[in-house]
Amino acid sequence: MKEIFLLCLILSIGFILVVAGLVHKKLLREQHAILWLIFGAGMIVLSTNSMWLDRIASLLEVQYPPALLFFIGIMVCLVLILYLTVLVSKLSGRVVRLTQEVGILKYEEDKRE
Amino acid sequence: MFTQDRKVVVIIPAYNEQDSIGLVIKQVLQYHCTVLVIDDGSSDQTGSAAAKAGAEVISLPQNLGIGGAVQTGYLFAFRHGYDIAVQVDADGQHKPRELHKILQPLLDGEADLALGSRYIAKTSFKSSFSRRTGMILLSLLVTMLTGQRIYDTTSGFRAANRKVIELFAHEYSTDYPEVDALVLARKNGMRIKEVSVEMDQRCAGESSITPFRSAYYVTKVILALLVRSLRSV
Repeated sequence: MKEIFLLCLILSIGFILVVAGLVHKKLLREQHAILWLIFGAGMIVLSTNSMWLDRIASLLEVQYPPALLFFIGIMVCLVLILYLTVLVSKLSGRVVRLTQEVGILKYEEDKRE
Repeated sequence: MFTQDRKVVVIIPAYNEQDSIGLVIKQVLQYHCTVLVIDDGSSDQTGSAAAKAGAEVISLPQNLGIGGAVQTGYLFAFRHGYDIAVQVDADGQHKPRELHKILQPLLDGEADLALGSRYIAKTSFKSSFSRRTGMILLSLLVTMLTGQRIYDTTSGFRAANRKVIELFAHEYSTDYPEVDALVLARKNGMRIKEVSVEMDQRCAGESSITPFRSAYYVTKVILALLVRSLRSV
């Protein structure tokens, strides 16, 4: 096994451990952690089976296999960012509604006194 | 009184308008309606100035922007059973003596949403060239999207009946609400009527839409509208 793949494997396992730790400390919700765990598992698979990458690269006629790895990585990042933006939109909608409710509740509370 | 015993609330969204808000409220109160000021997280004394002038005041704990503030008013109107909600700007450019003009189509059952317009007939309102160009562009786009000719799409002087109150309480654009709300209302089968009213230039404070930002504003509204038109409802 080439050193670089060993390094990748160590990094992937470390990544999964960090994700698990974040879930344990409740800094990351399970729902979102699953995504990152799948990502980590993918990284492990690719680093332990380097010939897979080579084979897929030659199938797609990619001259330089690591370029395919970069491409996949960038695509995964893009999808993740898009997903996060969707979450932010949803959250900001909820914050607006909560702020309105708090305003109205405060008003009704003051009226009662 | 011209409201024929219907419960009318005048919603005034205000962000740092302590100098003009009092006068606006006093003028509106002459017409015996409830005046509801939404203090959109102002850092000045807008809230207390409004309360002193005799308005009901809802103070939002943080700044939501004009759309979120106005929607708070519609939500309140919906919950408290108002028949008609009128939107008036806090800067004094809308004249309360013109209120009856936008209320009339609703009282007559002619429209669900009445819009006070600066452009539909010759009025004394003057605006800059860049601003007028933007308004014409928006008008064309809204006309295209709704199939109804609407001239003054950015007018914040409007009256909504119960059906529209309910719609806006549940859905309202936070970012570019004036124009967007018209498209939303039409998509939900509301009848819009534009009536000509007199408007003043702002009497105090600063408009959120300065000439420098108007081109940027128009571009953003157009993009937002086009994105919205992709949605089914």
